[in-house]
Amino acid sequence: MRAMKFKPRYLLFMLPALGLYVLFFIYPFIQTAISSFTRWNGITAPVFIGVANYTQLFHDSVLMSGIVRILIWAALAVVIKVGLGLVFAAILRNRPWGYKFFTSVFFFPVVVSSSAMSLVFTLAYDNNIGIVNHFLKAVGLGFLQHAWLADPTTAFYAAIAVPIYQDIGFFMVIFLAALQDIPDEYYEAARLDGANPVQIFFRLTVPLSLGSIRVCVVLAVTTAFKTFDYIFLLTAGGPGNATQVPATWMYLETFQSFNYGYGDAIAMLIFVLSSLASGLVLAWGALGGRPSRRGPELPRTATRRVAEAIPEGAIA
Amino acid sequence: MTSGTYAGRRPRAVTRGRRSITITKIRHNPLILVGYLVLIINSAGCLIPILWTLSNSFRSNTQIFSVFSLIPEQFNFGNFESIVDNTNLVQAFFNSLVISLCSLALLLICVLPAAFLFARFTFRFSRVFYGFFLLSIFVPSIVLLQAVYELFANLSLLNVQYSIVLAYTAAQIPFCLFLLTAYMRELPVEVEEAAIIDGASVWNIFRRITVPMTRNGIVVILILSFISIWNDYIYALVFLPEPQRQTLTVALANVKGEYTVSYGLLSAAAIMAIVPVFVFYLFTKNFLMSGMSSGAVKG
Amino acid sequence: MRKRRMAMAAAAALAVIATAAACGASNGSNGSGSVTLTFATNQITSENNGTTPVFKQLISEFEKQNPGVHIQLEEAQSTALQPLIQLAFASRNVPDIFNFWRPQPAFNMNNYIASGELGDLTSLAQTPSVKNEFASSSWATATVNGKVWGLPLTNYSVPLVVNKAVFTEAGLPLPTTWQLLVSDVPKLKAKGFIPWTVSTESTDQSDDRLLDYVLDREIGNQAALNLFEGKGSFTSPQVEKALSGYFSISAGYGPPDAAALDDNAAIAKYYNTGKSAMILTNNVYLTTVSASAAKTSEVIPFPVIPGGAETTPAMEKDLTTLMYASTAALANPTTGPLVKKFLTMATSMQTEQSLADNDVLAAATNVKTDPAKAGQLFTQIQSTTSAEPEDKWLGNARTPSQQQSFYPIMAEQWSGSFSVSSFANQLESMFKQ
Repeated sequence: MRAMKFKPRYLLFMLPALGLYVLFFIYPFIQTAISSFTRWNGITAPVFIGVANYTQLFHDSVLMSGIVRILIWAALAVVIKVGLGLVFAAILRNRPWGYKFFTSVFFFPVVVSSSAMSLVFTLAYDNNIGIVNHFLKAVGLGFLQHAWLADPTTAFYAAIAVPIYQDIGFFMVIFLAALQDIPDEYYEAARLDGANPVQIFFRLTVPLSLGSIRVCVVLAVTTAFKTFDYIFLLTAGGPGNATQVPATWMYLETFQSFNYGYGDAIAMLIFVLSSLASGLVLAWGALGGRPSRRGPELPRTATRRVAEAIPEGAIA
Repeated sequence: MTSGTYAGRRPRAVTRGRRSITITKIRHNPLILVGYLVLIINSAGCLIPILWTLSNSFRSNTQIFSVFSLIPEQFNFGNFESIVDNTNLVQAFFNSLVISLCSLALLLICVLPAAFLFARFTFRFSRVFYGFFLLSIFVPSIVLLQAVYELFANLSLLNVQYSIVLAYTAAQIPFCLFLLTAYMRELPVEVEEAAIIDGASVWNIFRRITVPMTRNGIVVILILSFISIWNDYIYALVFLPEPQRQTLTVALANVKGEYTVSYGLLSAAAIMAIVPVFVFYLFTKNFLMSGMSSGAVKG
Repeated sequence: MRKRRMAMAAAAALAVIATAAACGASNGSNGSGSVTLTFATNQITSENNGTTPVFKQLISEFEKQNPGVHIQLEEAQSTALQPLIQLAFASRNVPDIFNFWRPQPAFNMNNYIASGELGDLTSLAQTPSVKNEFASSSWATATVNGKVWGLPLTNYSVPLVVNKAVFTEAGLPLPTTWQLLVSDVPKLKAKGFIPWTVSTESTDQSDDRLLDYVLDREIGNQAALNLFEGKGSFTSPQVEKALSGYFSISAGYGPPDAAALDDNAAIAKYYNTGKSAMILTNNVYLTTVSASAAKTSEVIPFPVIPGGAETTPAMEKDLTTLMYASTAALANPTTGPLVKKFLTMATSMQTEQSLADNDVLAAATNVKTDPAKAGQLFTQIQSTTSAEPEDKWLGNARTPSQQQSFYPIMAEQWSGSFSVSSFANQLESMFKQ
């Protein structure tokens, strides 16, 4: 509803945002894009080389493995952050005993800074004194002990475990809000129909919170694509190049190898990948994503009939 | 299907009481125990690493190396004293705080009016402008590091105190604008319409009606932006190399680089970075939770 | 609603105040008539050893002698100075004074010189008091295209440090010959020790030291440099023989978490605790060796390989840190003389001597090492370094881009991921012209 008539002077409302945004975001972005078509060492004049940087992207094996890694990261982020977040929210949905305690504790890691958490986990992953290895030994899984951040096979997963673990609480709180909008009657009706909790989760909770799920998936994916700090602080891309992601590789190419043009091409690639991934998720939403078809069909007609027959608030 | 509008919200008190756990309930549905097990395991996962670090911060290096323990042998503040005396962590903490708060203030000044404009008005090219702001949501800020640094150098901003606030705010604008506009569009317009009939100016409507009603949306974007700015490492590393102007992230990373196997000192440094945030969190978590759970992120 | 409005007003006021303060408090200026010189450095850390106390003393001395002049520090940690200086040159905002590595392409210095922003110090270098302090080889390194770009400050070398106590405990002789080295290393591991205190963290540089020495010994320093310039072949029989020898004492013989530790951490964690036997790294990290470990440590020459090109032990060493200035600062009538003064003070005999007293290899030739002040380990390092002839670091021949690809390969090689031939082929494809 537009109750107010527009007057041109209202454009001033967006002036501060526009000014700041164009100057400190758009202008550097255009610079970066232009520079990606040059060979430049940052000091002497750039040399225009057309799309050579972009073709080199595909011959860069470290970059290609980096892209595979962020895809794995995005997948894990979605499953764990969104999945576990939704599960925890579902468990805490009707505010059982201890609700306040659990939500506070789960959300706390979100506010801890990335460098503090990286420091905590650098210590926790230490192969001699670290709590991770001690815990494994204590529960009898001592053979699983590793030098987590130094072993090429485990370094990447150990590194991304930290930001993923830290963010679960954030998504949980979002879903808690979304789940509040699902009336209790639906759950009562489903229980009356004899659905078990797993069915309720997948056939009722998930479909009715798809809007939030979609936004959270986009958030999780874009975060996975662009996060630089955790990898840089935990492993700096090492051991060898075992944890390089495009963001850290871009940093190294620009600031250690002084291939500015190529670094900018990688930057453009990160941008395109993020936009594509997010665009795909949002398009899936716009086209009406349907709930998954797993498990036995819950007789939805029965549920709906019961739900409609019960006036709001009649079941306490 | 109810959505996030005020009109459709049921009063909470009626159906949302605290449910207590009784033996009969557990017998009815043993999965309650499984649910609690999951919750307890995750709570342990959230708390124990930090508690362990806290414990180590009171111990000496030799103690840490010899025996694993969640409870320190003594409460010796020596590590903390070393950190305060020999590093710039305390100064860095305040730098981070000032920079973050200034960025958030500037962000509100920029984004609130702009969101109001896009939520309440359509005008020629309004969609173009809105899309223009939004197309950069997927640009990770690291992409622009080199170009922004050069821009700052050209504008002679590099030595201006807290100039990095401008870069941080600009990076937060797209997503916050998106969230706030979506939130404002959901707000009921009856109050505003009444004010118009009473002859209020657009600016007054914005200031006295819309902004206060957007309180929860503001909380969400403040939290998201604060976390993003507080955590930033690479911009702070490059723009603020001077020891007295460093932010907490950079200072912590430096401490880690310098004291790599002084585990007691490192633990103390980590705790010093976490405790203030923890205290802040204790006081504001209810406010944060209610703001986030009001449904600003509905999709 | 009231509260929110007040909070927002407060926030707005804060923003206004902050921006006003920002515009006001620029450059750390303290009133009229005062001069600020920016000094970017990695020589000042929060530990109180090595170069840190020397530089802190230097700065306070300088400010005392020149009232009204303030040195504005821009600190970076060790190799983090490189991106800092890089950005500075890229944005034409070079610090007035800074220390850096040698003016070679390996450090992108050729581009900095080409930009014109790097100050020409030739005239300052001709001053007799400055010129006579340093050996002609140091000046040769500091000179590019006939002009002197930096004043020498410190040297570095890569001594072979062994912990005699560990060898005694393992019942093994010290590796004074190549045969002994090749036989000792596997036996050390078999007895539960870690032979090499090496770090393979990608930003660090000790994982190529052993390879450098073996190549130097086997084919000679110049031939090894040619290899990395692409003028030789890694797959030639002689080089492959050197590489097999190298592999037999390296792959798998470092710490298990070598990739997560830098040199200081590796030394503190393994060498100081008596778990590892040898260190082969830049002497600047050897200040981390604890007093008790230093007591049982000894510097021995890296053995000569029988049949190799080098018949007497040579040591990898070079000028490492130089003091530079920006063209702008030198040209400015106010700051120019001050910068020159600071540079002269920083490289004076007095500073060089106090560097040596703090276990740093000073570049000046007539520096006396006082065994009372300098550590016992450092005295050995100093004497071995001056006694042996020089081998240049093989990284001098590598471009920054090649460095970035090379070190991860070294890290993987240390963890045992390669065979000799695949390693040789990788290097061949990377360096061959």
